[in-house]
Formats: sequence, C-alpha cells, structure tokens
Amino acid sequence: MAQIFPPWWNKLPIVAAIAGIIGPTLAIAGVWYFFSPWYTDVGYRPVQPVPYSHKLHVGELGLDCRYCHASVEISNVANLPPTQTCMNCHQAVKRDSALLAPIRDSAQSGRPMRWIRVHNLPDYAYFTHRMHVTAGIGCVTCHGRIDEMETVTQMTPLSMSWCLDCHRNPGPHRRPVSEVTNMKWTAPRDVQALTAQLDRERPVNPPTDCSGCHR
Amino acid sequence: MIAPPPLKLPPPPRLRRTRRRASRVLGVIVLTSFIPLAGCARGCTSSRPPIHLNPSMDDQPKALPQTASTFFYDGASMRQPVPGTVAIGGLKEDVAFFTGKGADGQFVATIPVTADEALLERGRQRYVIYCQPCHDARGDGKGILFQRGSVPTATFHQEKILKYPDGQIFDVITNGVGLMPAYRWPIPPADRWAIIAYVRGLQRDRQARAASAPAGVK
Repeated sequence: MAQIFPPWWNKLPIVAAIAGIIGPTLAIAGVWYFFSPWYTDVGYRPVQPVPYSHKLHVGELGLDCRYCHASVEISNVANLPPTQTCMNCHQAVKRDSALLAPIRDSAQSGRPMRWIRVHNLPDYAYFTHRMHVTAGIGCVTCHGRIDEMETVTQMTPLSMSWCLDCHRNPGPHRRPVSEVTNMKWTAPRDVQALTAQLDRERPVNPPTDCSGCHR
Repeated sequence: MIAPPPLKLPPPPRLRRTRRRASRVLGVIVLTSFIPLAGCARGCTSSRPPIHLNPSMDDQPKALPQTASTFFYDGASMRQPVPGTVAIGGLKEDVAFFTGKGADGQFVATIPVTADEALLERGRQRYVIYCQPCHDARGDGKGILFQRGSVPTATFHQEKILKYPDGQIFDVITNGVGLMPAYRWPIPPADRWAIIAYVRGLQRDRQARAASAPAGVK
C-alpha cells in the first residue's frame, strides 16, 4: 500500500512557517505602500487640452498666481481663469500658434475651456482657499513648486491625515501673508521667532473637529 | 505512448540539499522584492485619474464650482444671476466710485476714497499682480509683453496719461482701451482706486526726480 504522506510532507512545517511570516509581511507592506494616497494620488498629471506651462508663465515670466487665480483670496475656490485671461496677452503674443487654437475657439464661441482638474478633494470635504491664504499658508505648501512644472502634477496626498498634521500644529507651515504666492520663499533660520510673531499678529485656530471640514 | 517511470535517483548528500533550499529561499526573497518595481513607486507620474480603493462618497452627483453639467442647456453647472439682480450690499449707488464718472457724466478728477498708507500698499500689491506684467514695475511699459512679444505698452509717464483725470484711468482699467483688455473681472472697484493711487505715486516720484536732476540728465 502506498504511503498516505509522501516524503515531501516533511518540508511542510518549514514551508508553512516561511509562508506564514513572508505572506502577511508582504500583505501589510503592500497595503501600507500601495493603498496610501501617497501612492494612489500623488503624481497625478492629467494631459490638459492646451499644454499650458506654469514653468514658463510663472517661473520665467514671473506672473503672480493671482493674475489668473484671482478669486483665491476672497472665495472658497481658487478659480480657473476665464479664457479672456489667456487672451489678455495671447491676442497679441503667439497669435497663430496651433497649440493655442482651442483657446482662440473658446474665446470666439464663449464656450469655456474644459481643463482637467488636478487637485480633487472628496466631495464631502469642504476646503476653503480664502481661509488658508489669508492665514499665511503658501500655495507651494500644498501644490508644490508650480513654477517648475511644465504640466501641473499633484505633489501632496491631500488626505485627511495630511490635513490634520498641519491643523494640529500649523506654526511651522505658516509664512507672512505677503509671501503666500512666493514660490521661492524659504523659512528663516529662526522659524520659532517667525511663528511667534505670526501668532501674535494673526492668531490661528485651525479646526480639528469633524465639522471643521465635513458639514 | 506511455512515459517511462521516473528514474529513482539516490538522494543527494545532505549538504547539497540545504544549499539548494537556501538558494531557493533567497530566490523567492529577491523575486518578491521586485514586485514594487514592476508597478510604479510612490510619486511616479501618471495621467490616469487616481483610483480610490474605497470610493466612499468621494464623487457625489452634485454641482461643484466651474464644473460641467449635462442638465443645463449651456453645459455649465454654475448659473448666471437673472439680469438686474442686485446682491445684498451690491447696490452700486455711489456712481463715482463704481464708474469713475461724476453725476454730470464727466470723469472725476481725484479718487473718491481717502489715499492713506494702507490704500497705497494695497495698490502696490495689486499693481504687482495685474499691471506689472505689461507696464513693468516702474510704469514704463517695458514689461514681459514688450520684452517677449514686442507689443507696445503705454508708459504712465507720458503727457497724455499724466493729464488724465483719475476717473479716466478707472474707466480704462474697467473697460480697457486699445490693446489693453478690460480688467473689470479680476480687480474689484476698491482695488482699482488703490492701483490708481499707487500709479499716481509712481508718476509723482518720476517727476520729482526729473525736476531735481541736473539739466540734460534724466
């Protein structure tokens, strides 16, 4: 009669032990690494209908963020500019560029450009740009070095834990309000002195309760 | 055809077997460590929209600012107010403040707000954002539009503009003139007056310098 357990069953304990350690470790590591918004969301770089370069317009030409995103200080929304804003210059500069044809069409027909949204919060999170820029949170803090981007890319996870990291301790992330749109601003050596000064001039109390962001 | 039964080999020496097992384990570790590399590391760029593993209610069927709508005939989710709608506090009674023209239809000569430090500072900020790209920091009209596109831009230090009443500059910012488009949308009326106060300061500085400079030097 043949043996019920062939000889290779002798390896079972060691194989099970290795699989029992490696398997869960890989699973946990995989979830930690791949399920995080640092993996799923950071790096999103949609192809826009017109390859508008922030690197050129902001980095080289030195346009202020608010030249186009004018409502950022007074509204929840940092607006995308109307086509007219493009045409302010492009009625005279690069008038015949093929890349700008959609802009010209939009200006002529009045139909808005269909830009693709890059930074997209969940619809149950109510973010307000006005509160953040007037409290001295720089554009670069959340959006990264836009002035070096040929195509805008999401640089931060925009996740709840990431928001709360700053809401629980906003001090080191603040800067003078006059430097909010400055892409090249760096914190002074004595950050604590600046933080103390900003807290005196304009104390902030960012909400950390649910209803602060979720209505 | 029936395959011949596998040849029974004598078991290899113990040392060789452990070595082979060790190399097999090593191979598994090496192979699994390549799994992340096969996909894409954190922060690598992609033009595909992010996949949310728990979509929850991240995307709700509601109208968000500046989004498209399949419901309204013009395809926009944001609606225009009915013509003639006046927002609370938005009744533009002060004609001079909102149009730059007095009751007689003439441009007002001076800005209808008090020009103090705060107004000038606000004017400087807004000037840097909206005017400097074309008119340059000193108001000479040598901004990027001139540098990159050779598009002539007016200098503020010309006789014509020096003589403009303040209300006329307000009208130019509001409605545009010549190549200059209207800046009604990004610059609210109070900021337009602040900019005018700042531009007047630029002009005064230039004239004071010209007056104090020796003849022939500008």
